[in-house]
Amino acid sequence: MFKDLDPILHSQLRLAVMSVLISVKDAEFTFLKEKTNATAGNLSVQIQKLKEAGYIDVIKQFKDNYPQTICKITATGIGAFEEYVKNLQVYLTQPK
Amino acid sequence: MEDNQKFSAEQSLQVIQSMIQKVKEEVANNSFYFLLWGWLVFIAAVLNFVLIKFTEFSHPYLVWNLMWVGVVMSIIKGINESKKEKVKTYIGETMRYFGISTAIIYCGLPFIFGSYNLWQYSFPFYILIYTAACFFMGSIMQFPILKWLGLLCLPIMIISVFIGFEWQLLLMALAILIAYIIPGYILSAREKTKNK
Repeated sequence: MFKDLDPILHSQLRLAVMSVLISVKDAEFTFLKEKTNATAGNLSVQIQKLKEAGYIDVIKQFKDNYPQTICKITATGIGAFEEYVKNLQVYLTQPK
Repeated sequence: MEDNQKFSAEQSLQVIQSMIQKVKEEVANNSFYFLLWGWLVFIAAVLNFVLIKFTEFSHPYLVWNLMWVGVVMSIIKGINESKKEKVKTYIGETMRYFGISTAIIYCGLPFIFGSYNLWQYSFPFYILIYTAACFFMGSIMQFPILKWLGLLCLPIMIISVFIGFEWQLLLMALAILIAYIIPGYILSAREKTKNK
């Protein structure tokens, strides 16, 4: 039933991360954690998967001597997200 | 939130909608700048008027040096906010660069008016900039009150062209009250409610 849906995006937490990132220019890891209510460990794993798929860029830097992780959606990620939403709409409009 | 791959299409949609809603609820604290600049310009314009009309003071324009307080406070606030900033929204970025652009105009115009000694024409220009700036910011921030209050400054600008310099000062104060101070307080109330 969900065969057309991108398996990378069809995960609650990864989809939540992508939904946040599609609406902003970039976001810190702490912001994503706050908005998704995920644990730091789980969020790190899912962000890594999104990065490996080329859907997001992860920038690690220091800000006021503290490490900072910034996530930003890529053009590939935007395309994949749009495709996912399109497929979702097709599925939702299909008679059950 | 779990990493659940067996959730339905409806749930997917809910996740997308709720996350986009959460980001939309991120409120930038723009009211600070509206109130800071609103009150500084209002006080300077009224003081300038009082000094011209009711005193013999030979340099009433010196009250406009109050604007340096605004410059310093805006820079400090901007630096502090950028340190705390966890997310960059497109609206926030647009507002930031628009703010910097209008600041360049506000700083550049006194140089031009001063060089050609055209101070008597300066206030209609400033009121016109308030009109356009508030219309733009109100549209970008989806804050219609700011848009319409900004447009109210247009007739004020037209009237200001036909009156004397000292009375233009009072119209300038009225324009800044309508375009910055009133929307600033409305924004501030809105930010307090949303940040609760």
